[in-house]
Amino acid sequence: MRTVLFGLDGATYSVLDPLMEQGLMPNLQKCRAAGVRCLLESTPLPITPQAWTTLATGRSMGHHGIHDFVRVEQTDSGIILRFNTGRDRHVPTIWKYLSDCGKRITALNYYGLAPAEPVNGHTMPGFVPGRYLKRSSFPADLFSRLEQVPHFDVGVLGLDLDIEKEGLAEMPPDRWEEWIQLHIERERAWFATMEYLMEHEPSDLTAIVFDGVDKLQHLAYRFLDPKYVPANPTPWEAKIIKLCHSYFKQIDNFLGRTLELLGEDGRLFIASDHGFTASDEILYINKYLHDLGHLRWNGEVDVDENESIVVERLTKQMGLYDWRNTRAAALTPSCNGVYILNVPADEYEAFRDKLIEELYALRGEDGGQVITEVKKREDWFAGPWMHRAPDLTLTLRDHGFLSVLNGTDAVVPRKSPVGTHHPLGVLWGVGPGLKVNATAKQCNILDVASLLVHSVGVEIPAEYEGKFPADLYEESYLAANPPNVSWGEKAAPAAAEVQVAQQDTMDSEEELVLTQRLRSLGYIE
Amino acid sequence: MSDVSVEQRYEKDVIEILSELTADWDDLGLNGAMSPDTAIVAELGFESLDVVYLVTSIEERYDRRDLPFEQLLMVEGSYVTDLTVKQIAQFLREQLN
Repeated sequence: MRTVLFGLDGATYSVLDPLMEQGLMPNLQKCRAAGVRCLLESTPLPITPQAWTTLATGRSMGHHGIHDFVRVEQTDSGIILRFNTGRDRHVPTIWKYLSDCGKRITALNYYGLAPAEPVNGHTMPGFVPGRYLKRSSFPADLFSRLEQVPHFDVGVLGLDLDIEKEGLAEMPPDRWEEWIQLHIERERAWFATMEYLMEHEPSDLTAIVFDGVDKLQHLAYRFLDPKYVPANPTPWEAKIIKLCHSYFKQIDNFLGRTLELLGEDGRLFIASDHGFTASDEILYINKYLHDLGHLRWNGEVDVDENESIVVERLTKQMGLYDWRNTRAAALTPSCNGVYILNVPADEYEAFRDKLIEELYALRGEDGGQVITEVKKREDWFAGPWMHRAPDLTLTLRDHGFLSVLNGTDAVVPRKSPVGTHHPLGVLWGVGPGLKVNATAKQCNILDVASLLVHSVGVEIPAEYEGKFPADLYEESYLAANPPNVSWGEKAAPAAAEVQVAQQDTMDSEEELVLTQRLRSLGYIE
Repeated sequence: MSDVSVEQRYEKDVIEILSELTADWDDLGLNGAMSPDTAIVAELGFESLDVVYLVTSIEERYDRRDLPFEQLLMVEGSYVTDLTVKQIAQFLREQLN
């Protein structure tokens, strides 16, 4: 069945429900009445690269290999950060799988689509600068057709890192309007692309992500979640609230038009990669690790005064630390992780256990525990690629991101709350066979791939790790249209990968044999 | 093949890779043709993400994912501020021959 995946990066019911109640999202309200929805649990690290990759592959991080925007590599020349691309993902996407099964797909603005992979249909990646968008899209002549589309503007569609970073720190009030407006224009450009392709070159599965939801909420969460919206806003606050509402009203218009294009015979799913909430403090984790004696700065390091979590240029960050005399450090803010360095293998477990205790012991100004969960790599990211995850991944009491900068104190209250990722996002479904005006049991983001593959009418690959979310459908529909699992040639590597995850004590010879096996099956390089 | 011609071959390769990479740029800062002395930051206007695409393009061209780019991009633990075509070509010659 013709299916659309309407991706809303970072969408949360805490924002969408009040907007619906205010009458600002009438099409979403219609979906509420005509369809089914549930909470969608994100990946153990709820961020875009990991979560959208999991959604698009049906595999967990340890298997697909994408943990963060960048990955840390220890080399003889020192520690380097390398940006992940689609080539660092080591399992096939649903786009490729469905294409190989003879279905036509369109995937727009998704993370990890660059470099372009040939498919039956179209792909245009997200998170790619405008100057590389054309060469990163498929097919090669796609742009020549899209250039005639109103609002199609590569300069607007592409990623601008400087603009993105503005939204992650304190932004001067006079910048907000232009910054939000830019995201309104970007979404318009992406939707115009999708609208054109749905009308003129329709696919069995059309998928798009609107990432401005995430960007806007990072900056302006306090103007969107009623818990934080000022009762008596200043004129400037009122203007920003109105602009935020314009953004969501536009998304709702896109949704309405999509439903129109899809028709009653099609099925629409709305999914987020994670939810959102408010963060009211900053954890300068490297300041804490320094105070514990685990990290040494490389000389005098400035103290952050702008509620920033990341250095201006990532390449400058590596110069912040005295690597030889550092045993634990946070290297990227988005991964909320601590890397253990320069600790001999026979001391590793003891060092890590002590560090975990120290992390749990950190208290805020109010005496409360700041770090609520410390995830060990092997427990949460098991698989052939788990070495790409940090040794420890932290969950904070306000779900905030770590700052990798130096601070006056380890924990500093924010002047105003900002948006941050929450592990629970949204999943909606509207269309034939799906329940009506219903709330289903919570699903996991691993489940979405099987939902989409089944909706399009293809067997679900056996190696998908999620469960088919049957609770979204009427029983009678599933009885007539059961989700069938494909036990094809991919079943063997799936079993082998599970073995990797389970055998912590595998010796080097066994590891070599298994690695060769996975390589021969095309699972690793 | 002599060292000089090998080096020239890699310089030609790098110029081809850079030309292809910057083909869609409407703000390319270069006046005139690329040469072995062309600096990718000062003259082509490379930013950090552009280096990522350069690395990917090189890996694709030579079908290699294991090149130690840190040896090209880092000196004494810090990232270099610029690179010339000649420096990239020398790195490739050292790694691929």
